[in-house]
Amino acid sequence: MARDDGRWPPVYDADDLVDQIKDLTSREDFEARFYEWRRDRATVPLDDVCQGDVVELASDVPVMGDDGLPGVISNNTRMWMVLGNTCDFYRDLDDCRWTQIAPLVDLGGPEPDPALRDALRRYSQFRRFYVPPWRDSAEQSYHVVELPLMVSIDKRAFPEAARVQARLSRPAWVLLNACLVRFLARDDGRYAA
Amino acid sequence: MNHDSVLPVLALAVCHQVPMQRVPVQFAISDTRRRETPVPADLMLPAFAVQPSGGMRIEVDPRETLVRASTDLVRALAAALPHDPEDERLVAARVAAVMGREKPKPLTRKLDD
Repeated sequence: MARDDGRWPPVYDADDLVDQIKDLTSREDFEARFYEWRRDRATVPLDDVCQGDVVELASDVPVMGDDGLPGVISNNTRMWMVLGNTCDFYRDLDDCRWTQIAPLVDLGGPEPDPALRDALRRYSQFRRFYVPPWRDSAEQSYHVVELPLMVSIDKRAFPEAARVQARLSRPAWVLLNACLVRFLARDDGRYAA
Repeated sequence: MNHDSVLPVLALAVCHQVPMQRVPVQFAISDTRRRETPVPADLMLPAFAVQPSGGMRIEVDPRETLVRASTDLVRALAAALPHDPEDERLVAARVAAVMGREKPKPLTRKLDD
């Protein structure tokens, strides 16, 4: 719940972090609690961009291939998640021109097999972030954010070229932050006993 | 777990975006949508301070502090989000099946255009 100043309260310590993540991921209505705003249900539009927003942007994914040269790989979903900090959007262009996004990969709907769905909901993977359906439709789709494919984008691309489709709830945003840090600080297990 | 030093690495990552006099020691993950919002005084850590110029001044051995904090950070995340290599392989296989392994296509425009 937001405070009077409209800002979400911080996570204070490790126990708080664990409690919030477990409270979210263990709930039966997990998917329903994941978003605080969805375009398909919205009565008022958004006029800003925040970390964790699902955005639609018709672009392939720029990468460098095994020849070290720039190229693109397909992004059939046209969906991305904003991973750069929210405050970057409030900074002057000279101070901060770029933010970061990563593509959403559609795992193939309408429903993944139970083992895959359970794995997604456990958030037990370093390199991907599960994004539950954010649209009411007959064919729900299940996506993951492919963190290794993070790319930079000029923030002026918002909101014309990249339109927000859904905004995370606070628990989901905390979960995203934890997964982002874990992705960068992950133990690869090479030196485990 | 030493909660007095939990996650100041994250604090360092985000605190410079929030104008304030002190950096919060327990400021693990905080909403940065309102950058002008002050941080409560009871969350201040004397070891870190923002100078009048806006630059950050670290008053203790930063290497020792950050190494300890990094260790706590990884432990906290491991407790909150246990990693499962089998889950990682299962999801990775599905992603690979969807995305394929085709080589990146060349850009449609030359870089010097």
